[in-house]
Amino acid sequence: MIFREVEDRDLILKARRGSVDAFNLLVSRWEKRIYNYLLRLVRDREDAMDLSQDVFLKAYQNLPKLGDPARFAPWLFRIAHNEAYSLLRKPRADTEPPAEKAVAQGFAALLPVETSLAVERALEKLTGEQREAVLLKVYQGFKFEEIAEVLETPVSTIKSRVYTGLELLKGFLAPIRSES
Amino acid sequence: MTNDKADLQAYVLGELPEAERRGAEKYIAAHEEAALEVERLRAVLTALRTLPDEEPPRRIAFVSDKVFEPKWYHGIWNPAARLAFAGAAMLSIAIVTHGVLARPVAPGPLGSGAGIEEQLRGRVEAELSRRLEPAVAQAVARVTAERSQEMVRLALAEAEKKFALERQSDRVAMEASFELLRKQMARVVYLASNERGQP
Repeated sequence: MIFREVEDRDLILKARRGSVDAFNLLVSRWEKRIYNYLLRLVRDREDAMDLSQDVFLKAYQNLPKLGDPARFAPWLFRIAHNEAYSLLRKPRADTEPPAEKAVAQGFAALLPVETSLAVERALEKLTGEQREAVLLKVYQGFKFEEIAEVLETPVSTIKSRVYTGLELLKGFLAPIRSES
Repeated sequence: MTNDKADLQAYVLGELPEAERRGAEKYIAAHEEAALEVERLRAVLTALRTLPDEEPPRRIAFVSDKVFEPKWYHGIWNPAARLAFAGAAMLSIAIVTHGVLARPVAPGPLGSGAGIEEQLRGRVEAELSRRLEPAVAQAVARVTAERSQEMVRLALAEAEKKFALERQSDRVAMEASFELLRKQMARVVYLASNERGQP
């Protein structure tokens, strides 16, 4: 992991000096994580894909503004968060409920139906802030301080969101756990 | 470590420092309720992680487009270059300011801090000596001149005093001579008158 971070830093420095290839390599390393993070926020593959394009474009254009290359991951997810919420704030012509849409084209086709439905619905019951904090913690593996950096929110607030979210999820997923 | 749910969640999420993590493990091993809560939390995380990441439907490689390539100066004008420029600018300002405000001194070999201090002390002492010696000589000359004048004045006063005493002595002697002469004249007159009155 440390070796990987050093390599990322090297790529960032090269990209800053104008190396497109270095940045493309960075994109290939991070696009899956960014895409899935966005997919779980906006719950639409096409939107997630378009947003991913925008995220990496903005990252490329603003790379000289990144102070510390070691902070690349929180910085990149900060851009993704902003892009996702810009989209979510826009009024949508599509009237299909997000939860139903997620079920229709989300993870249902890839996973056992019961588990995927239960997890998706449990995450849906969280507030947007709790869900995003849990996503960044559980799926992206960020530390509380990094999540605070991504969301520009105090660490104490992040802890509260994650702990409350987990406590709620524990209640929502109890039947599944007891069945399994 | 307590049975607080936040502590147990932090433990399960791997957010506890090493020392606290070891304490939590001992606590959980000794408390059945805490162990059950940890088991429930781990089951929740396991359920959440059953959702695998999807592959993006297509690759993101738009930055190979020339439009998005940065300008040539972006590569030069990076944060490190900006920092170096700022440092050089501050150093230049410091040098110019020192050149304007400080008295130019002869360049000397620079060594350690103590060496520089010693060098500065030597220069200060030399400068003091250079300025002090003429001032002392001038003051000594002034005092010598003043003392000479005083001696002359005292000598003149002494001479005048001596002269006055001599004059007084001469006057007394002259008066005594005149008195003696007067007495001799009176005697001569008396004797002359006696001679003329006797036959």
